[in-house]
Amino acid sequence: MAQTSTGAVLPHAPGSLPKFYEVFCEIKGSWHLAGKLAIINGSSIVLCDYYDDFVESLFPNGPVTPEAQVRLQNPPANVKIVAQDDVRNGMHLDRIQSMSLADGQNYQAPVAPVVPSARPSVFHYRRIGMLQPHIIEFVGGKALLDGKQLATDELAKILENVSNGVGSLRYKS
Amino acid sequence: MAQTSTGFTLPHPSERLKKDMYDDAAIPGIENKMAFRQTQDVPGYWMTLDMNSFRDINAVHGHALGDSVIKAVGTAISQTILQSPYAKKARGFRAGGDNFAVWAETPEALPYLLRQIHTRMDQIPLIGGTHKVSIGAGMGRTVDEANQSLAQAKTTKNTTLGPHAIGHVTHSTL
Repeated sequence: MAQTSTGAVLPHAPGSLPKFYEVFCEIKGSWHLAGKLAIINGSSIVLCDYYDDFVESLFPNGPVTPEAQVRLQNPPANVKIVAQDDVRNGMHLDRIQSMSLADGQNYQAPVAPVVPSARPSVFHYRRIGMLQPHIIEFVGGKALLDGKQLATDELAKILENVSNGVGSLRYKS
Repeated sequence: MAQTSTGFTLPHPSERLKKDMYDDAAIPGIENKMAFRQTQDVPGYWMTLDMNSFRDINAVHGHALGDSVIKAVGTAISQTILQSPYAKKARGFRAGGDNFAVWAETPEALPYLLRQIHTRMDQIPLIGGTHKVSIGAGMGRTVDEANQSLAQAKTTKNTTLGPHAIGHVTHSTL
């Protein structure tokens, strides 16, 4: 038995995930949510029951009986049973809550987290034998040496010099 | 809660499981019958509520509208608790179709919450232009006591201080 933060007790062992079903009943030609049940380790637990004990009369709490198993697979004509996983997987679009255009006006789009702007990609490049450093910039996907665009092999040579210690790159202060 | 690299928050699977197990299937913020049963032994104070003349609404205006009314009432209860000073010391439940319950850690929370629920429900328009949504409420140290107060108040149809009233209003026609 696992206990939740609110003190409620989860009646199943970790690892044995329950399966949830919503139960609908037909009243005067339209379908209404009548309740919800969970099947856990072969037992049925009624979680919601909105029309007296309608759901519990179909699926009594306790081990699932052969009759209840049949009802789960082939419910009576005025009853519809929908697996919650199927709703989440988009197999019952009618269970997706509708939203009016007026509601949409109040919709708040998620805001991306603010990322602090990075330092400008401008570096001093020094190499053994140079009297003074050169400036390397990375702008718009291009590498510039003292303002002149570097070819791919030139850039590769600079990076090779840096990696084997012949040269160094430091942020330009 | 798990945070993704983009900063969005995803519910942890166990939190989703808790919601699946204990939240009402139709009204966000309200706990279900199972949670209601499991909470009955938790020390605290209870208020039970049910709607007046709900069958009339169903009979006259149909069950679809009835479902909407229940959702409006349940939302009024959940929002009242959430936005009250007792948000972490009170919980709202749907015990059945139009039967709700509120558990609170302290007795003074219940009349406060009832007044606030009343205020919210006043904003619900007349159903079909004819029916004013109203609820009865009873309070007690246990669910049974609260139900007795509720039944007594429903019988007298008055705002009364019943014997099980923990010193506060036991019924209100909202």
